[in-house]
Amino acid sequence: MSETVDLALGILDHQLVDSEDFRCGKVDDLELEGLQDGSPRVETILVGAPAWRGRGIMGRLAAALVRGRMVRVPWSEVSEVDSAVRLRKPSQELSLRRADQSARPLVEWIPGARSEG
Amino acid sequence: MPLVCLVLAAGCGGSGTLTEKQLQKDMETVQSAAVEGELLASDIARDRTSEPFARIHSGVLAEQAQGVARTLMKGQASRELESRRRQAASQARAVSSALEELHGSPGDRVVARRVLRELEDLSS
Amino acid sequence: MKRIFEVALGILAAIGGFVDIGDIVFNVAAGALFGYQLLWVVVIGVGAIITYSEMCGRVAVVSGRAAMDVVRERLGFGAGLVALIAGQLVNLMTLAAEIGGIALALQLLSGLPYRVLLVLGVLVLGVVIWVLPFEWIERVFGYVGLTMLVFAVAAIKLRPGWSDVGAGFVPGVPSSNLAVYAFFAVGLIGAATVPYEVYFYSSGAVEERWTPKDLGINKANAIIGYSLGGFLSFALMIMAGALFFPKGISPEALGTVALGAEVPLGQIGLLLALVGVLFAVGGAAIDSVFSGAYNMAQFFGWEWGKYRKPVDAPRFTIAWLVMLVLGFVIVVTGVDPIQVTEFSVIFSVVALPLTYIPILLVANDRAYMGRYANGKVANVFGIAYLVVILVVAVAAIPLMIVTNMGQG
Repeated sequence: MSETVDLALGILDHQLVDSEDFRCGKVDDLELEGLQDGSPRVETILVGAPAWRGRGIMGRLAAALVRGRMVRVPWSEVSEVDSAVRLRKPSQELSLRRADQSARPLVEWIPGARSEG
Repeated sequence: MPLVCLVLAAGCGGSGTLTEKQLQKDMETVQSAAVEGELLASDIARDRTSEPFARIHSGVLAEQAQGVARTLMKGQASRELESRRRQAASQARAVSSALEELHGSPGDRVVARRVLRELEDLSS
Repeated sequence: MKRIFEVALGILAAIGGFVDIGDIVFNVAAGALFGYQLLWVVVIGVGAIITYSEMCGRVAVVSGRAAMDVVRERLGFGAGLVALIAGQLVNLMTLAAEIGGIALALQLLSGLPYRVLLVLGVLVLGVVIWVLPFEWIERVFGYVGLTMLVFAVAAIKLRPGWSDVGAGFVPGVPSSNLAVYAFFAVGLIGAATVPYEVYFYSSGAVEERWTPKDLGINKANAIIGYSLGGFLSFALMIMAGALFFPKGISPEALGTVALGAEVPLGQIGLLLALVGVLFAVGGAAIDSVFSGAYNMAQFFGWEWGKYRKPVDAPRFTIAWLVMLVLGFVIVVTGVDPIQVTEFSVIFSVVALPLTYIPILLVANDRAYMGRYANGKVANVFGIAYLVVILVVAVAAIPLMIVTNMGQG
């Protein structure tokens, strides 16, 4: 039983990557289920500042200082786990990368912002 | 160095009394500026440097010596150190004004040769 | 053949980019105070950065994950955040010092006022980062930084006593001034292993899309490039040992460093030295700006990379712009860049274990690294340097206080 839990916890703090290869946050916390009946599995991945509240003192401090929305990503959206946790869909469909979307206008107006560096 | 000074409460100039060690350090600083000034003056005299560099760096060295002069003149010393303090302060002022001359005429080879001799006399 | 050419170019860029304002300040000051006696410590510092960079590069290549990403994963959110904050504070101090160094070098070249050159320098840095592609930045600053080799020529021309120089490579302790000697030993190691170099190197491996077949280049870059770069540090110390030490000159300004090239080589030596310093320090400034942005993005999971369009990585882009502005703000207050350099090197030594330990752990993790995990050699060096880094990290601040930042 603990082996599966370890595996689940093993993806904590890993990078999330969407289907278009864009980085879209970290696994900030997890919701596990099935701990009672001896077959634990990850039910949901929690992403976003409010999710840090479950990560110790520093986590609660950081969550208090940073505004953000929490996104719940069901485990069914994960396509594979290698060095990163890869998702089946693009970020927008999962409500991820919203902060990057909001920050986009701050940068768009600068000439050359749409060319690759 | 304000952080370090806060920690080193004593001996940071806060008390105002000059120690033997501090006087020695101050004299070494002035000597260092003087010797470096000689190198620079010699290079100016032989046209081996650039004018902007000579002007900026001689100013920096002059300020180094002048800074020591200011600290020495402000501070107090025990009777044994008092005459040495005054001597060191006047040495610092002399070095500083020689370097100021370089700073004012950074391309002038004649001035440089004269300042070189002055600094050699002061640092010997 | 093309491969060898690529490797050679990478090595050249690594040499020119090795030295930054911290190396310049500490190597020249150490040479002026102790002659050649601390050369052996530079060797240790070079060994440390080679070991650390190679591991970090290998981890980045095999996993596609760069330094701060790995740190969060190994240490967890809480401890990782502490590492991030410490790393960022150090990055910022280093950046401020480098920006100040750029303005000082420009001032000595042009005679223009320092504050004007601060603004000019930061604007140019911003434009260069925005416009030039990643590889170009590394190459331009790396190649022109090679003019720092003028210090090697100067050191030779000053005719140091070569047997004394050789003796400097043998570890030893001085007859007096032990605390100051130890302080400089700590500072020299700190200057050689400054954290932004490693954050940047590992992120660069991902930026340039290195694959496992590039691991040979990774090793060559690290070993050959940094060894030869260390050579430049030797040159600075030997020059100072040959010219400043016997004359009792205590270097407090960048102009003194340049004088060390002017005295033996005249005006051409001066100009090459100033240009070399400008580009070496300029490259270091850019690397530390990026490191600040890389660290934020990699910790929080944002999209990042110079290879991305700015609109695709807006928070990363804003992060480096903010970093650049903050560095400028620190130094425009008029604080002496040389003093900022000294603080930044000492504090970076203290923060180093926080990044090094996770990297060492990951590099050994076979589940992660597969057959590319640390072998015996890498571990011998890795653990030996871990001990060195821990000792130095603990000793740094006490020594700084006791010796009044090396003033004695």
